[in-house]
Amino acid sequence: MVEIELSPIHALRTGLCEDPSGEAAGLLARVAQADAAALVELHGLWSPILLGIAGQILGDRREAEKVVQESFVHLWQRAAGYDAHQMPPFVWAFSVMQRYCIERLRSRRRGPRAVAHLGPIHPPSPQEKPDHSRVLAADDLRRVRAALDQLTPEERHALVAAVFLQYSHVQISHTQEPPLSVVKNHLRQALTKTRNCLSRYEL
Amino acid sequence: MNSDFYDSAAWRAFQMLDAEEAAIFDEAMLHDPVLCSAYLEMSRLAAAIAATTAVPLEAHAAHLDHLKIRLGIKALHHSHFWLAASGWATAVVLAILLALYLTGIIDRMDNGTVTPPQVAATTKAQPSTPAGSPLASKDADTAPTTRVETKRLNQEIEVLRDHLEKFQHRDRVLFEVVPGMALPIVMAMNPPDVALEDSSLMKNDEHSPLTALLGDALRALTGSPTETDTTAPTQDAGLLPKHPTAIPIYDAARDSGTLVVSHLPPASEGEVYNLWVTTTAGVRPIYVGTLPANSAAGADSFDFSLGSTMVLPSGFVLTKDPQNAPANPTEANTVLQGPPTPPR
Repeated sequence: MVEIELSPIHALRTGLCEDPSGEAAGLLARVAQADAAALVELHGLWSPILLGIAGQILGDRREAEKVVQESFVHLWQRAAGYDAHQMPPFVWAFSVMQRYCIERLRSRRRGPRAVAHLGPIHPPSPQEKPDHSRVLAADDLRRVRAALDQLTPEERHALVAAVFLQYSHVQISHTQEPPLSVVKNHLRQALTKTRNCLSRYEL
Repeated sequence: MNSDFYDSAAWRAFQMLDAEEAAIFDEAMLHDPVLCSAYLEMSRLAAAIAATTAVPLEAHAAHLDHLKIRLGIKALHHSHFWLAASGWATAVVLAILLALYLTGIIDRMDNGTVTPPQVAATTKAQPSTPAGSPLASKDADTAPTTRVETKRLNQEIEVLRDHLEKFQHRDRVLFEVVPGMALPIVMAMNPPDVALEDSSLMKNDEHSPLTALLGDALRALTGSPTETDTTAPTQDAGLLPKHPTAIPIYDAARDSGTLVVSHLPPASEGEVYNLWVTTTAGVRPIYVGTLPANSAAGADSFDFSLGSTMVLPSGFVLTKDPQNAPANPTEANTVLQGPPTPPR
């Protein structure tokens, strides 16, 4: 069977990372009215995955917990100004947390850690099972996994590492490795393939 | 379609632009809806990939409480709140009881049923009153009763005052923050088959193995020449244990710890060492992390944290497991554990 190479369609389905049930948007609306119960529920909904992402970006669970807490403080204070038409709720929370992670990475760069002989011993516990179901729609999960599966190992690694800010300007200028041109080349290919694959579901 | 838009948007979304480039991009995005749309699309894609590939972590129970306290949603944790409330309520009740007792004494003094203490003292101080006089007779009747009553009341007041001080002290202990105060927890970790008496941290007061181990690790950290170490060791090598050992030093107040290992053989291909902590709560060991693969050549040290200052370790376990497949500590995979279990 000959696989037809589709030409790039540079538009993702609008539903990626959307909140079809309206659960998160509803909770954010209640948080905007200073509803503490809604914040608790939102924390239960998002904090595990945000903590996992922050932990992978920062490589330090303690710092990740602080960043997630900062993010929820931000959400609590700015929920009233949130516009659901601009960005889905989880994407907003993710971008807020990403900003705090960047601040942490920058502060690390300014001042080297006191203990240089540091072992990266903060991976997730094996008992902590993934549960994305309430954060991302099952359809989104399936589409994104399928898109990542068709990448080469180098492309996948480059894309995932970029998402977790391993190639951010701060990191690259700090380590000078790998060469930025190589990273960007892998990333371009990965993005093109991913977006093509995601667009294919629209057909 | 101009893919440069998406390239730029991707570099911006992945934070690969420097500050100046990012500012130019942000400015351009304000005037260019296509660029703005591309950036939002990349943000969605990044969030979706991150959420798909990251492993969710369960936040510690105190995480939400800290958040609530920070936002002023709830000032205190439930248990602390009830402890505080009960403590202060008891203090108030005791204060009221004390006041009632004192009021009762005054009333009885006013009614003449109780003579004030100074009167009793005066009575006691006037032994020269002639015997047989009416005044002497009256004093003789009331003086013993007054003294007994006064003594009893004084004792009760003292008891109540003690209770009050205890409750006040308990509340101070519960809520007082001592900045910079930390008591490090230091333990010895040894292979499970090492006897308790061989694993003591302080076998010899003059030449402590703890000091020797830490000195060994510090030499490794500071990069001292190994030749010097082997030919002229600063510590008595005979005191150092021959088997693998480790010493976790943990500061619970700051949730900051260091694991110093010694004589731990490098893990074989495809295997890693995992650190676990057991707590006083008695639940199963909690996974702390994995030691770097190239570690454990001689003496080495690693920083770790337990994710919360509310975790009080009762012991640590080092296991050797296949890479990416840490399993709960068992007799089979445990390499070091501490504190040592007493001999059966």
